[in-house]
Amino acid sequence: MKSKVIVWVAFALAGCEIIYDNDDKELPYNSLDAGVVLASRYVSHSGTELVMEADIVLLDHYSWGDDLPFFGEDEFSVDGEGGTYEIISFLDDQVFDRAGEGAAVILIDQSGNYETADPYNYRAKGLNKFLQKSHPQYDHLIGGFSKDGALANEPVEYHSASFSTTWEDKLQFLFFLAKRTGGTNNVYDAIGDGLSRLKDHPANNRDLIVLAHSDDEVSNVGRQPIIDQALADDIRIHFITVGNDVDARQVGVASHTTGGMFASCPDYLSMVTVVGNLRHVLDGSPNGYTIRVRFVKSAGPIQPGEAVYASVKVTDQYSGYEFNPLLITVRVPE
Amino acid sequence: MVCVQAAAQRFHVGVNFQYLIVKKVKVEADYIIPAESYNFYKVIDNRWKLFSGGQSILIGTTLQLDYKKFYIALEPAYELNSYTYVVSSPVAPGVDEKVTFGALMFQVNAPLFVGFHFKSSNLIRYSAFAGAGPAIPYLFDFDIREPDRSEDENWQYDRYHYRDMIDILYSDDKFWNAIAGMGVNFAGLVRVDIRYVRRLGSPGTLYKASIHNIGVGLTYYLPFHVLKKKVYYEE
Repeated sequence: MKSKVIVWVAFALAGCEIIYDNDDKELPYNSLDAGVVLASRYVSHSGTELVMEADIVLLDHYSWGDDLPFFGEDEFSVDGEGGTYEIISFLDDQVFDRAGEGAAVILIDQSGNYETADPYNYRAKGLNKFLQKSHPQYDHLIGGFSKDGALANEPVEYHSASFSTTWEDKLQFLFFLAKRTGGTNNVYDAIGDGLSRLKDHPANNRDLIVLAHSDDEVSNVGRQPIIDQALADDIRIHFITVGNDVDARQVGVASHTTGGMFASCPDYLSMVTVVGNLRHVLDGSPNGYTIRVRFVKSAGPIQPGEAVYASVKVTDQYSGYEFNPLLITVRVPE
Repeated sequence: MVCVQAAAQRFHVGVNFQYLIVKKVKVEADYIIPAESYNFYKVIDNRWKLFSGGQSILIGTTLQLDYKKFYIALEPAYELNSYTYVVSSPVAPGVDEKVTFGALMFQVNAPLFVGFHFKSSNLIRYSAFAGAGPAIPYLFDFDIREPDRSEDENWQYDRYHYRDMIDILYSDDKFWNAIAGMGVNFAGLVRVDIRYVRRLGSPGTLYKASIHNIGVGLTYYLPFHVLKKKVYYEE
């Protein structure tokens, strides 16, 4: 009789869920591994041949996952236009130390709509993680940009007038930006405004992070003045694009010229992995690859000032998963 | 009055069934920031709901002692307790995605309450009662409630976190319930009551939240006293 009671009690409790403590906060399960190009460097050129180098980090989409620094060279390939591209040097398990207290202006493209690029507001979830992971070392200013859209101020509507390290107070503004889309893209005007706010911030590392799903349409300033201003003020511009409506080459140059990171994400599933790992990528010790690429131009010599782009493709040989394209951009010195 | 006097100092044992079908789960905040994910929810569902807010089914024992117009009762019962809570998440202009969280608990309750017969006739007695008691929950299931669309990439389960209401709407800590109601007793054999049950204190620590239930109770008293009288008259 006693054993029967024990069996029945055990049976009754067998299905009960135990609430265990979980210290790790999680991004949506429905996400994908993604890669970022931390830096692109011109190495040398002569005649029709140019050598460039890039630091690449592959990010695990699990919230508790680490970087993926041990893919083989045979899982990397490189392609581009105007000639032939070849990986001539491959170093894995490289640690890119980027630690330090900093300040960041985060600009979110509010133009048009996100119906296909990010239908479930993953950008806000990823940035929420960045804000929380950055607390309290990073000073933030977060804003949305568009022209003639649904924002209260142009070129940028910020959450507040000044930087702060807090995150709870920013979430309502951040998440409800999803409901205030419309208008046209004024990203370079927005970057100019963001640079002016970062310019006088005393932090050593000053980052301007742009999340965009479309190309500039109506800015009063062009890309080059923005790059010059960022270089003059020692501010890194980081671009994360989502969807297929952005000219990655245009914004990739702005990122890599200023020492910033660039990620081109075809969908929100990889975008959330990049955005969610921003703190780790910008201000941690990401673990990845340094690859060197040789470009041989098919028509004529390499010209001073010429921009060269190479697209690195990474394919997991076990799962067949293809990472988001990793764009290397360099400009030949004048 | 005769009836009440006849029942004075009488002890009853009964079987009790309860069905609580009107529920209100209330979180006292405008927004919810969960502890284990990077989601963010708007509070939209602090209202009474019939059936759709969840249900509770209880079966137990009633141990009741009558004394003049008063009675005191202990109702140890086993409860299958479910409740749901709907929040929304902004995703696009004019679009808030609703996410329904639910919990299913096995629960042991032992409320002790005091009642007062405020009106009586030969057959029927009306009473009001109130009390409180401990509850020991075993959380059987907590999840996002939606149709099973596991093959669909838009499955909410993959986009929101099933643990987002932990320490807000449910925990496995013991708690207390308060209870109040009004009942009708028929011939000392059956009592039907309408009762309000409220969880005392918040289920979690992150937000102040409350859970309210309204339903009906049905108690069958074992007819020991009738049998006893019958024997008495036979003698």
